[in-house]
Amino acid sequence: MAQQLQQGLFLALAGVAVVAALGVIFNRNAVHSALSLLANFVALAMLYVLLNAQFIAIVQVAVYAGAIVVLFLFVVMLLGAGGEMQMGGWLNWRTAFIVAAALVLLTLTGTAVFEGTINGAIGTATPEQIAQVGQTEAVGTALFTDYLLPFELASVLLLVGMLGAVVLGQRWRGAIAGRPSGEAE
Amino acid sequence: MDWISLLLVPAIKSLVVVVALLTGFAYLSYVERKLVARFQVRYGPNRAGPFGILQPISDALKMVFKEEIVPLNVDHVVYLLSPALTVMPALVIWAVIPVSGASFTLFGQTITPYVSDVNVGLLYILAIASLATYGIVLAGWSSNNKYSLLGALRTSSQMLSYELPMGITLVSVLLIAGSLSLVDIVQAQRGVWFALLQPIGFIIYFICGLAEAGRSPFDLPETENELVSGFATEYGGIKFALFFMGEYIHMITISALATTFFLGGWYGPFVNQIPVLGLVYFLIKVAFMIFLIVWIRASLPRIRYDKLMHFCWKFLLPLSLLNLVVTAVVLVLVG
Amino acid sequence: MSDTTFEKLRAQFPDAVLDVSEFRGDTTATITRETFLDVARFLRDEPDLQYDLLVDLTSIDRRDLGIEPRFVTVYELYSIPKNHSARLKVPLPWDNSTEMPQCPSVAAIWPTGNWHEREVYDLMGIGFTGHPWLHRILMPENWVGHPLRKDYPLGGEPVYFSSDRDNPRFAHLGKPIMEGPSYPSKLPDDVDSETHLVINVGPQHPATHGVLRLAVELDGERIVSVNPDIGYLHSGFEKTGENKRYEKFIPYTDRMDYLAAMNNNLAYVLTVEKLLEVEIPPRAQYIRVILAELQRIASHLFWIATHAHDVSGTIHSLLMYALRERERILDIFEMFCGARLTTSGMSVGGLRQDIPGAFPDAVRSFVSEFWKRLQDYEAMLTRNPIWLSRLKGVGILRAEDAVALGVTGPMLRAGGVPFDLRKAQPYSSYDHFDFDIPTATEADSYARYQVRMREMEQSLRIVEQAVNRLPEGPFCTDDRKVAPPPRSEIDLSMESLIHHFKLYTEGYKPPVGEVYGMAENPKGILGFFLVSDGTAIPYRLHVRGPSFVNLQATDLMARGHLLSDLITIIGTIDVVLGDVDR
Repeated sequence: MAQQLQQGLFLALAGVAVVAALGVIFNRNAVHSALSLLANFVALAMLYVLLNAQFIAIVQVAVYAGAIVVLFLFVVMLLGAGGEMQMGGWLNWRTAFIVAAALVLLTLTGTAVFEGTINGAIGTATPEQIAQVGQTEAVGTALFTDYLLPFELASVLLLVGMLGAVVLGQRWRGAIAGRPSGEAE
Repeated sequence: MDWISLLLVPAIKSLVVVVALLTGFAYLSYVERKLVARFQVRYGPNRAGPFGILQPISDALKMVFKEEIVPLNVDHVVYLLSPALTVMPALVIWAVIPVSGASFTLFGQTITPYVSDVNVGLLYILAIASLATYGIVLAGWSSNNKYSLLGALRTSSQMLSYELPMGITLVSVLLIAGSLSLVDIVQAQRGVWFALLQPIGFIIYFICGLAEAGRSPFDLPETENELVSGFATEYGGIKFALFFMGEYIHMITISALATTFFLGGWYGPFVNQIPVLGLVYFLIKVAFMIFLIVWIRASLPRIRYDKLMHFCWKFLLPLSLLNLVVTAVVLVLVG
Repeated sequence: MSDTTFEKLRAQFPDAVLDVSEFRGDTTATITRETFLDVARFLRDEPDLQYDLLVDLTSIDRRDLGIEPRFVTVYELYSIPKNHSARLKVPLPWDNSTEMPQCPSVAAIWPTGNWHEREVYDLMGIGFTGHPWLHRILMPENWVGHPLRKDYPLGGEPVYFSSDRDNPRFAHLGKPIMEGPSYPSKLPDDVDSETHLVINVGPQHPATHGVLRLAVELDGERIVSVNPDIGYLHSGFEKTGENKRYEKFIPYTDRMDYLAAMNNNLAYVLTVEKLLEVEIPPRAQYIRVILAELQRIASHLFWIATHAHDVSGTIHSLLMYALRERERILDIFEMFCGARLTTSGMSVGGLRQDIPGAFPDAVRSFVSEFWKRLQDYEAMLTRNPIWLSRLKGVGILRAEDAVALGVTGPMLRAGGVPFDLRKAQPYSSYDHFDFDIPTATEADSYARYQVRMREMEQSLRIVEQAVNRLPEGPFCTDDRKVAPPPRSEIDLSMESLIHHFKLYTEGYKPPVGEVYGMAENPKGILGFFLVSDGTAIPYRLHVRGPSFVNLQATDLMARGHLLSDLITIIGTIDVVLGDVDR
């Protein structure tokens, strides 16, 4: 019973994910594309839940759906991406490159799915272990022991990015500061 | 019998939660109007039914039967989708909130007092809360109105900003409780409420909660005096009611979470002897928090938008970080 | 005072002054159009004269008086440091070769002239050379003709009361009227609607306190410029007044600044009384003061209520608290004259009737209670950090800018200028009472808040003194040419009956002349300019609404602030659109 339910859910969610992914590409309106992306992310998160990976699912929702797509939307809305880009025509180097890249991607994915030869590294943790200590703890332990250096590097990188954004924002503010202003910042 | 515990019980529990929340929303609007009226030496609604208790129903009927007005040049799909997107997260959060301590048995099934006890409950809440922005951003964008757009931008940046100190404060709670499950967090408060262990955290959480729910003095989303009605300017009838519903359910949710994280959830005297008292305590605490929120609304002016952001980034965020560090250090020292 | 003014003027510009006349204490000099700007600059800058405040700028169409040239502009000047006033008249020769008579603009000398000149241009059809942006201000842009000209017909405008579907006039109903940008095209040229967001605050907006439209140019949420668009409530009071007998205009004054009806009544009857030269018995004067000061408190209460509401949101409790106290004042008004909002409580010559016996006690009980209430309000706001952060440093209007823009009342006093007509030129026995003029120095919204709160206290002091020292005596002048005889006399005396009959059929006929009357209203100086041609109907009636002038400062105050601050700023201007549009 539970297995059938899981399969049914998987098919439904996978369908949603694929349709949403297609929607990202084929929507003419950039905001609709971003919304399709959101739907895709949420469907993926649910798939993670089916795989018993709640932590990843939550992170998927919080980071991708909750933050990144919002930023996409902001950019699309504020920069007014209403007008569609005009392509010169179908046959040009750009299209050729895209088609080639798509074919390579398709081959890789196909190999991965049907041959099962491309596998990620398999860690030492087993589902039983994880169930015992909890997923968050398992991830946290891994991050702060084995992967401490990459983790810290990533955080420094993010910090640099944030500072850069602040600096750029300040410069922009300086440009309009020439106006009379009655208040002291 | 497998499918009963797998499908039917959660479905019924979800239904109960949703119905309770919708009723709660309707009567919360009534209670708020009555309370504010008393603060302002007025009577409040008193025409529909005794003491006006049928007022929410008549309001709902009015909203439903209002003419559907869709302005020219709106993005129809998004325009109609966004009210739903606002209500959904507010409802979905309730899946992990435990409303009482004791499970009970009904028709041979053990019913737990929550829809689901996931071991990432706290993260789940943060993740779902971050989705609440969408309804507002999209409503503002799709309405094709300058006021709506300004309101939507304000609101979404406000909500995104206040999630940070809120999340960090909840990490302090998490450190003390040692679990992400809301049930465990409440059980960790068997002896002392976290509001006493984390007074600063409680205040930060409450402030952020007000900002997240867009309640006074952080009610920048609407700011009817500046932006007419903010992101909801072009909405009317049932579509507007959905935004309204989202805001009020959000308010209930914030109060329930404050209760769960800081006020000991269902715990109270004699709760072990009489399990049903757990639900009563929970409701009383939630009601108290809601009363606080309404009281604040009746007494405080509204913060200006830029000061609101400064307050969050330059005061609340460092304070919550400091709180987190102090909590961690103390925990390590105490062991 | 004015004598020395015009002596100096004659000495400086021997050819400029055509004529100097005096009537009822007002001195008027007629200046040639060519020298007018030099004269104006001299009057403003000369250290002994310092006419820094252009109180009013208006015009007269003298067609029916038979005086050539037909149009004349009138400037009412006042010097705050020297406390003297003068009136200039500039006749405008017009040979019909140009579309309208032309007058040099004083907007560069007294910036307040900007809107006044637009009003004159709009309503009287006089062009102003050198004006920064001469457009219609009260009438719609596409209006034909200039209503205040004497050859402009009264009425004749069809008004449709039922919207029957077949009438082509209503074909637009239910259809979008305007595609694309919805702000009016008549924005000043320097408004950049391409790179900036131009947003319409109003005419239907929760924070504009009436039908006021502000086309706000925004860079992000920062205000680049504010362009007020007014006139939605314009009802042609001046034209109406020029077709009614003097006494009958009093109900119209109620409807100008409808939150300060008593003050409006007082200013108007004082002006007519100045024209008629009647003595008002002290009892009437005291009662007038009580009513006017109560009205000032009521007006300020309404201001604090709506201001708190603007800054806070719909639910702020102070809204209801302040309205509760205002309600008590309105009850007192009802006790006195039966009306609450549009009182028409005063009449030329005194009052319509004496106060009822319970009146003094009602006022006393209100006063004693209101002292405590006022402290409650202060407890809610004065030191509230959010309130401070919303008001402090917002909308600074320095004293020199305020004077240049003609801004008066609490807004001027918040800049540190202790100018109050009740002290400077006491009327209606204000000099009998002991009170202070509250001022502040910061000139921001918070200073205006404090000044108004203190003013309520001072008004309470005045009311307290007046009601405790209320003299006995008649409530109305015994000049039977102006005020009707009491009912009991009519039955006994033939003469009284005749007076009564004449008064209600013909009215009184003031002598030929022109007067300017001012009074300190809650929002600033309310001025009336009356020209009498010897008949019972004023030949020219002009109103200077304080809100109209004060509103002009919005742009200066709001530039560089955020959109939220604009709401605070409109709130502290305390604008009443009935007063702006008249």
